Amino acid sequence: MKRLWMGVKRRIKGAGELLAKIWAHKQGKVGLIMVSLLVLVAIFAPYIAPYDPYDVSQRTTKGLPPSREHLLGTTINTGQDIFSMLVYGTRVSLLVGVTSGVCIAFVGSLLGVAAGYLGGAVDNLIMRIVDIMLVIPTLPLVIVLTNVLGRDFWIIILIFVALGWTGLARTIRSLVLVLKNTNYVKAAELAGASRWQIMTRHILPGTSHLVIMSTALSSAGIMVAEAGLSFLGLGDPTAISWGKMLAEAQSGGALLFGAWWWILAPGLGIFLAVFGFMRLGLVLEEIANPRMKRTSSVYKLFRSLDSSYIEEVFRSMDDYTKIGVPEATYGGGQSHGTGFEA
Amino acid sequence: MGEGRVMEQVLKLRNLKVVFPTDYGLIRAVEGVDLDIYHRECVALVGESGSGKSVTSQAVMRLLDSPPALIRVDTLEFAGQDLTQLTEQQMQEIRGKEMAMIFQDAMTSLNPVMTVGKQIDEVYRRHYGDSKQAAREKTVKNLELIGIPEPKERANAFPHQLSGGMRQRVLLAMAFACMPKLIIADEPTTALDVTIQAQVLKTLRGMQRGCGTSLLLVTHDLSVVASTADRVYVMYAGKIVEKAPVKDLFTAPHHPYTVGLMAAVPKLSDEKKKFTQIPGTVPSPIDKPSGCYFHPRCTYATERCRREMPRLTPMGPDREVRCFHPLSVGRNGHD
Repeated sequence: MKRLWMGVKRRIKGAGELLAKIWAHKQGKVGLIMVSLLVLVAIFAPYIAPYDPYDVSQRTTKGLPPSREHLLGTTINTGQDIFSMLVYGTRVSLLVGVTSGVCIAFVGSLLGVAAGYLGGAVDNLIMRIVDIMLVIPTLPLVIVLTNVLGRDFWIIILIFVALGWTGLARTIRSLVLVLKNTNYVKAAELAGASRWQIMTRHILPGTSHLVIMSTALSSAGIMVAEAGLSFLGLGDPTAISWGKMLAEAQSGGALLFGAWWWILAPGLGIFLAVFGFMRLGLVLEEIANPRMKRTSSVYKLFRSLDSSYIEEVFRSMDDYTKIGVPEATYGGGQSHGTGFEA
Repeated sequence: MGEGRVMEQVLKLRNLKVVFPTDYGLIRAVEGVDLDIYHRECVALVGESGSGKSVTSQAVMRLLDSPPALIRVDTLEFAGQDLTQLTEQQMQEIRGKEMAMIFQDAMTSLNPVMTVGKQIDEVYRRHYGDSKQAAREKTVKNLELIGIPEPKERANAFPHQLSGGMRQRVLLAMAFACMPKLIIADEPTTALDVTIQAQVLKTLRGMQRGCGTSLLLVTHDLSVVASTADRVYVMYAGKIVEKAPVKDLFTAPHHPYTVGLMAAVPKLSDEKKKFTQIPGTVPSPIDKPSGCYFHPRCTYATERCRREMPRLTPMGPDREVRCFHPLSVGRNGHD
């Protein structure tokens, strides 16, 4: 029990250090603020949203532009509060995006490492599956699958994961093929480490920068894809998502009536989420892969230098006898003195 | 070193200082180094890891980027040309053509997906504008000169198809391609085993004499120095501590550090079971000791050594030493 608590404490400390590292980047700061804002909004949606976003019975509030009562206005056909819809839509978009992203990272890295390290039949099997998946056009397949399996929220996530892991597995596999031949992996093999140990302890951490990057990127990508799917009317019909808001704005005639707030709000939501995740992904990749040199930090260090201190350091390096003594004399005046010293 | 007197000076470096600002403090890599290299001369720059010898050689080539490096130099003249005034483009004309570099690791210095012949061809095509055929002819001749059997066939080989010694020879061929005035060899034989090392050094020395180039040999291996160099600079913690013709240095080393280095070379005739070593370690480049940088490891250190840094003092013909208490002085200069 005590050991467990120690482990938890260490994890918390590690997480704190990671956050501090992210915070040290300008981009990381932006990403962290955006993403945590979204997460908070998603968690506390019922407390933040001023109205019931599902309430379509408000006949009196149809098509209002942004005002103090309705921060982002209302819809034209049903009179729903757009700000409340946006807040609730965060839940769906974030959940679909992050869950799929994490699942893709998990499945992709696992299969990628297995294919790369185990090789042979396993490699062949996994890679042929990848090949087949990669040549199937995604969107038609998604349309077919949603129609067959239903448009439940979790089914949509499942479809995204099933189609999304292939690219990552491919990339990870080629990295593993390189790592497999490094001396430390060979040393682990010689020391009698099991395959599982080598894969999880020695190879997987080496691919972490790729995995982290891909998680962030695919999360962002899937948020966009989900919006696209909902826009086409293939999303979960019972949940409010940003894509569905856009679809309703389209069918409800937002453009026709000039209700710009109806289109702008979900668009902005998608933009912010994707942008935030991208920033966070970039910074996390840099942290996971220290070899990616941050030239910006070197320039920052250079700007912070005190030039008089540097000059003082340079001066301190002089041989004291050299100061004020003409060059010709300190060489001792023997040999090699051809031409240049005279 | 009689010929040096009448020969032109190829490299003149005065007061080179390089520091690297880091998050942990200033790294004082090079602290006021002077170097002279004359025509057809082989000069060795000797020192431990972290003594600043590689940084010095890279600064001479102007290969150090700023940032991360902060560089000050009073004079950097190459064949009468002031290198500090040249643009990066002019510098690129000089690199490879008049000044070439040989790196330690032949495997990583060569492009693994290009045949070695093609990589040498590039030098001719870049600097002389040769046609493919003309460049290849020169390449084959060059490879033959450097002692590679069946040069025509070898030119079509990829780096991984050659042995370590052959790869190093290919690098030599590349460096000598344009008959440069100066070649900087940064630990050229460290990655090779001793027998191959001797062959490569012999080739290097032979080519250098034959082509009339000067050589700056950066190394930590005293046996390499003894067999190849004409003059030696010994570096410690960013400063030159001793400068001498190779014969004088080995017969009568003046600086306690040089003496320690030589004592550390294991000899076949030694009766002792244990290796001699210099006590302590190289000082951290961020936090160097007061006074003489060597004093914490020096058995002869006095109060004065702890307080002030000795200057580089002339000690007879063509010799300088940075020490208040130079050793074996009486025997110097008689040979």
